[in-house]
Amino acid sequence: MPPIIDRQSRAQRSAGQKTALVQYIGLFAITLAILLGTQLFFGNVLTAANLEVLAMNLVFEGIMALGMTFVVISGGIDLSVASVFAFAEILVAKLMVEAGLPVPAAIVITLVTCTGIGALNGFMIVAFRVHPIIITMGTLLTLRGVNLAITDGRSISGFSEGFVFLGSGKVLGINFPIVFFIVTALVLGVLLANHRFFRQLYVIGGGERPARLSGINVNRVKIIIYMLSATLAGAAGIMAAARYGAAHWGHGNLAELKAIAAVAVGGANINGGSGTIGGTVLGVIFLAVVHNAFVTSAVNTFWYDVVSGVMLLVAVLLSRLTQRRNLFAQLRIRQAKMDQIATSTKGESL
Amino acid sequence: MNSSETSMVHRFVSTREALLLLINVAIFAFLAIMRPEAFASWTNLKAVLSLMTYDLLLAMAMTVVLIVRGIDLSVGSVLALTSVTMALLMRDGVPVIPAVFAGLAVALACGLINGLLIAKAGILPFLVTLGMMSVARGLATVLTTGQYISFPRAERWFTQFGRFEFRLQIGDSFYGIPLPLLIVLAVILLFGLLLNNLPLLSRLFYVGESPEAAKLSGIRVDRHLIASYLIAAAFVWFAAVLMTSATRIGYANYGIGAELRALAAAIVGGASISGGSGSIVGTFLGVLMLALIGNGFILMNGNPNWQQATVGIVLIAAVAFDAVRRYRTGW
Repeated sequence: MPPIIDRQSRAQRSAGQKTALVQYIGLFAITLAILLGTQLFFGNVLTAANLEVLAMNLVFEGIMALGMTFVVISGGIDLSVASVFAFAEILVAKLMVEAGLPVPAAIVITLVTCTGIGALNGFMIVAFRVHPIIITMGTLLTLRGVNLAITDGRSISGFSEGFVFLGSGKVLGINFPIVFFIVTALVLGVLLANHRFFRQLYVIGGGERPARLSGINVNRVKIIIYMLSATLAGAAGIMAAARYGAAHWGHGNLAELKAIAAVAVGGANINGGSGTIGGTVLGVIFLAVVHNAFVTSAVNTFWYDVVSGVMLLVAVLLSRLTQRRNLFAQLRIRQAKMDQIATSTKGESL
Repeated sequence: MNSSETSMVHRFVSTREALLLLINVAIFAFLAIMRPEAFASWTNLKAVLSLMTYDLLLAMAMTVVLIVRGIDLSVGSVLALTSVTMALLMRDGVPVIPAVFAGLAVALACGLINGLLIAKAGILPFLVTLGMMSVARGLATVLTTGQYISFPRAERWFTQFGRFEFRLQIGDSFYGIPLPLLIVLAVILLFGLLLNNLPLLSRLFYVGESPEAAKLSGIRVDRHLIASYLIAAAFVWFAAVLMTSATRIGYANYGIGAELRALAAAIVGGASISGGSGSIVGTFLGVLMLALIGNGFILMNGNPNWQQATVGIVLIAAVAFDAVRRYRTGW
């Protein structure tokens, strides 16, 4: 029997959607304002070359952020994506350059291995019953050490032409990683909004016990979500190796934090239960535009860390405030209903 | 041995601290037997212990916030920002004492912002301190433009203090005992005692165990949350002072990745991300264990690059061990 989900009252859902919509429009407006502002003051922003640089700058973090969205909605977090990213770079490079495997075989083996790492993450989270932060941090530290050790800190290069296409080749005039990001975001966005399996994530994020009681196989869903996240990180890693022309254990360091920031800026609740792919995409674009504004304005790029930290805090604070206002509205509705019931029962008893 | 004594011994042996102590002793014995000259030399042990002092202080900071159901990812960055602030002031001729207190003010300001955003605005500690991590590291880099900051004009006692050693003579050989290590051990011991006996601090456990229940029983939860982030900041400041003094340099890249090591050590030592637990002795033993394993890796001619992986593996092993124990006790 299919689990019964999505039976919130229609009014409540539309109220939630309305606040989300306000948030997205606000975020989009701010992004646009920054983009136009930098164009106005410094110029050369809205050129094809700069837009490509802008997009390529955060595309790999963006792909990780897509997977992170699913994890965050389910109430978890995946800190290990950055190390999986670098691991995929190294593995695919080793398979091609040192083992001499053909490109497709190397890619498939790498993706399967990354999926396996995700499965291990998910399994440990489910089996040990500890917060995902701890487990995925363990994986992050372990895998980063492994990356360093198996390469001795050296980078691996010497890829074939065909492989390099995955990083810098163009499809319809757009870089392949960006095409990959757009297609993946569309597919996952539609699935997340409509498919029964992915709708379960919102129930799990809202509360695991009720989710279990309503017949959702919580453990299975969670493991699959971490597999998805690791696979996307692996795919990003493969494309990054092709893009940079080399695999290095230090690539993607702290990318997990950028991915989480994009998800949080995109309006997802880090406690779980809410978030959309559309929001995350807006969050990624926002971070990319802010970064680009720093580069073009030639302000000391050292400030970038400061501002992106402040941005993260402001974004979370704002979404917290809108949530709270929404909560008050819901409370008022509930209070009104209670009053109604109270008066009606009083009428009956009289 | 009578029965009450056996039960006491049994209770001691079954605690986490005893287990950690045993593991530490086992690692120590293993290394001492396998590499008697290299490991058991005072020079090596001193190096292990000296490197440990900073991690120890940061792990203490992490333990305090873990107790109140928080997390502080900004410890490493605030360490760098504090160190850079002090070094810049001393470079420009500010005397040591005011510079050091300015560093304290910076660290406490970071802690206060963390605490306010967590307690008053109700944002998740993970996100708040993630933002602070980025902001503090960024500010440190902006202030120094990524350069080392040396401070030749500072009074000599400050630069010597971090490297001062007591010379202890036993038989014919001299042993140098680093002063910072002694101070840190004393501070930790004192803090451990206060944490369990001073009502103000022991209430932190109630706050972490159940904020709602603590609130209902009249504890001001907000203030305790903020206080714990301030205490953490003070520990970070202390680490920054020792590090700046020992290296004679302020640097924006100090403490990169230190937050994860500190978190791992605290979790291994028995703190939980869901709050209400954590022990100073446990955290101390956790830091010691990670330090010994790291040192052992190098001495056993292992690839030193694997050292980072061991931290992660130890963390996962500790968590798995807890899970097995929970299943067995039927929790």
